[in-house]
This record gives sequence, structure tokens and C-alpha cells, in this order.
Amino acid sequence: MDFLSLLEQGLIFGIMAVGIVISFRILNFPDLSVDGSFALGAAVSASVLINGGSAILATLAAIIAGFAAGSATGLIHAKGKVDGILSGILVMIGLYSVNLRIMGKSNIPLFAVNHLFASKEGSLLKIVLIVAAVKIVIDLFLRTHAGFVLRALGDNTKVVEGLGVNPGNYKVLGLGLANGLVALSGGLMSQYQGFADISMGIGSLVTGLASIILGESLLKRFGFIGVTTIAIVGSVIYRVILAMAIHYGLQPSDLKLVTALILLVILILEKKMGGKYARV
Amino acid sequence: MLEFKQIQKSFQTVQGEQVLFSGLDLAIQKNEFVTMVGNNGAGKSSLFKMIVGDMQPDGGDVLLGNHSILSMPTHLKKARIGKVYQDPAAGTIGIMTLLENMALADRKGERVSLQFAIRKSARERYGELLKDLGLGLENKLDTPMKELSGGQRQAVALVMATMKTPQLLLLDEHTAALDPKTARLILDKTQTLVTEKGIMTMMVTHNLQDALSYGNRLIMMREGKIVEDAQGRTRDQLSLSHLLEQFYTA
Repeated sequence: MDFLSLLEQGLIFGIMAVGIVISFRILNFPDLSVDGSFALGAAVSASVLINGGSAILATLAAIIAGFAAGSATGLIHAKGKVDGILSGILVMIGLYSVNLRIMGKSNIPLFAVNHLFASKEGSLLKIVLIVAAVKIVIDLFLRTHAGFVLRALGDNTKVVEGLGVNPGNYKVLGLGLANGLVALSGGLMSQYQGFADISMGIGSLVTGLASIILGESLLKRFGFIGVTTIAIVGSVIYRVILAMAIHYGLQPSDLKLVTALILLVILILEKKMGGKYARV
Repeated sequence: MLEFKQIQKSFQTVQGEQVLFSGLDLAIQKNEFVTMVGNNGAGKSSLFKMIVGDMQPDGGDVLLGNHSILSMPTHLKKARIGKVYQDPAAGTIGIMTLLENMALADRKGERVSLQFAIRKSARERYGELLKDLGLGLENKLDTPMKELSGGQRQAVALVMATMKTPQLLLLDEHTAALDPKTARLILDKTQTLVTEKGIMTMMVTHNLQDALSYGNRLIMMREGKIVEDAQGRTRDQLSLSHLLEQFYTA
């Protein structure tokens, strides 16, 4: 097993898990648009790159596109009064077509263009710096007035409204933020693996949830550890588990089933042990 | 001042149209602490709902400080109103700590910003506010709200609702879910806070004795009409037995 690349991949997917923590845990919103916005990040970043844009521009464009996608889910739910799960599904399905439009074809190779990880040299350092920046920014944000409003929203909308805050607007903001991170993760992953593919996002939500729940069940017992750390560490551990599954003879195509089963087992175990962390 | 003007409201039921309000008028002045009693369906809760925007009247107007608030967006309306619910869990954020809850309430009505939510010296200030309750809450600032008892949560909800001195305070049977001792403590605290800050207050209660002991104006409703409205000396002379008699007159 190549532990370095497992760590790198785990960290990149960790950014996605941080995004999912914001929607599922902080906002308490079952946002299913994640699969679409992960691929959207990859699509946008790849198409900027092959059109001559810089790696920085490509990565920023991915974040903005993801933010827009998440906001769309939020708007459909908050202003259109559509059920939360359905809002996410609508955006996810719609994004499949959007992503194909952006990419023009179902796969864009990035071997010929210069991007963040064009040379494998120093890739770990770059990834660590990006992940650390994301973690610090989100941790600080959650301590601001706006961050408090998002946290409060996930628990009691009435109280938030009572503070004179329009709850819908902040749901939109929170989902935008969450999907911005998911798309950032997708954009980085496409550069890391050297191609963007239309099917990249499939299963990313379940992967992210599995990482978070894994992180929670392993880390929560050590007292107070922030949600961002839980997401990132959980994501790395999760990669190692998948690699072990392959090492012991499973095919890469089996991994989605493995992910689903891992998530199922953790959920059932947690419910049996008091259901403390298994809030999905 | 809070004013209900010529309120009309009816509901469609299986028995046909049921009229609740047919031209109700009610004005409440600043510095009034109104206790409201009446059986279920008398219209007390409906009045509350019309104030916060959960129900629209068929006709008439609701004015707060001389401005109609019927078409005002709910969150803007609520920024000027404090409310404490019957359910102690409803008025606070369970997953956030006591300190964080207080910090949120401290920013009620403010534009949401990227400033750090907890201000300097907040801990001391909130500690002082909570100390007055005599529940030892000043030592539990870092405890998540959901780990506090119902009485403690309700006490905090009351402090939070009045922290930024609202134009109007609505208390919706806010002691009904508490044990008698805690209920008394919350009511005493309510009376003190409301009087000190001069907050216009409406309190719905099913406890007639509380309705007499607290506040400075008593309103009894029946089938959408005000059947008793007593303040000052008249109210002082009201007896529980008289109220009970009124209450059971159908």
C-alpha cells in the first residue's frame, strides 16, 4: 500500500467531508446535491485548465461553482418550500447535465496541462497547506456571529427567527458554503488524479458520511475535538480501510458496496450503543 | 402601544363556518403587564399568532408602536418581540452552550456579521445577568443547554427574550410545564424583569391565581370576546372566586 498517496487522497476528500459536516451536522440538512457538486468542481476546474486558465483560477472557479450549486439547493428548499432531500436530488440530477455541458465530453485528461499537482514533487505539502487553510477558515467562521446563526439553525429555526434573522437566507448561505467545499475537493481531486470524469461524484456523499461517522466514533471519546478535525481525520482513516479492502482481494469496483456496508454497520452499531453519533 | 383593531377571524370546520373574532378591539399600553386567561379556544393563542405572523386575520389590523405589523416579514417583526414558549426546549438552542446562547440573544436584531460572536467581557456580563436568577447558572456557562433542567432552560429563555429589551414580550403559558416551585421562581423573575425594564407584556396562563398575583391588568376571554378587563383598583379587588365563577359561566 502506498501510504503517502492514501494520506494525500484522504486529505483531499477530507475537504469534502468538512463540507458535508456543515450541511448534515451543523445545518442538520440532508443535502444530496453533494454527488453533483463534487463532479461539478472537477468539471469546472478541468475545463478552466484546458482552456489555458491557471491552477489557482481553476480551483477558485470550482469553489464558486459549488457555492452556486449549494445555494440553488438552498433556494429551492427555502424559497420554493420543496422538501430538503428532494431539493438536493433535483440539483444533483440537474448537475449531471450541467457538468457534461461544461466538460463537453465525459472525460477530460489533464496530463498535458500545468496544474497544482502536475509534478508529484511536494504534493503532500501543498495538500496539507490547503487543508489546513480550509480547516482554520471554517473553524474561525464557526465562531463568528454568522457561524453561530448556522449552528443555531440546525437546532431551532424558531429561535433564529426570533433573533430577527431570516432563517431561509442562512440555510442558502450554509448550503452554498458546504457545496463550495465539496466542489473544491472535486477540483483538487481531478488535478491530483490527472483527469476529470463525469462519474467522479457518484457515491461521494456516502463516502463523506462514512468518513464523518468513522471520525466521530473514533475521536469523540477523546473529549472535545472540533467537527473539522473529525471530518479530515475520518476521511484519511476511511481511505486506509478502503485500501486494505483492495489489498485483501476486493476489486476497486466493489468499493461502493464496501462503503455502503461500512456505513450501514457503523450506523447500526451506533444505534445499538445509544445512537449518540449516528445522526444522519 | 399594541393595538388590535376590528379583528375578524373565522375558521372552516366540518360544522360550517365558525366565527372566532367579530370585530375585536384591544389596546395595550407600554408598561402594562397583561395576564390573559380563558378556556381553550377563547382566542388568546390566536391573538399571539396574529402578532407574530403565524395567523392572518380576515379583517382588521394589528399595530405595534403605531405601525401595522400584519404585512411585516416575520423575522423583522420578531426582532422587536420577545417570546417565551410553554416548552422549555423551544426558546433556546440545545446543542449550544449557555454562553453561546446568551451571545446569540445579545445580538438580537443586529445585522449578522463576521465578527466573533462572543464579545470581550461577555462571560462576566452574562454571569451577572444569570446570577440574579439564583439558580447557579453563572457557573454553567460552558454547559450545553440541553443538559440543563427544564426550569433552568426556561429561566435562560426568559433572560434571553428580555436581554435586548423588546417592544413587546409574549409569554405563552411559559410556566405550565414546570413544577410549582420553579414556576413561582420564573414568574417572580418575570415580574421583576418586566417591571424593571418597563416592557409591555402579555402573559397567557391557565392558572387563575397567577393571573391575579402577577401583572397589572387582567383580561379574561371567552369565545373570541373580552369578558373581563380589570386594572388598577378594580383588579386589586378581583377575587379568585369571582374569576372562577366567570370562568365557568358558559
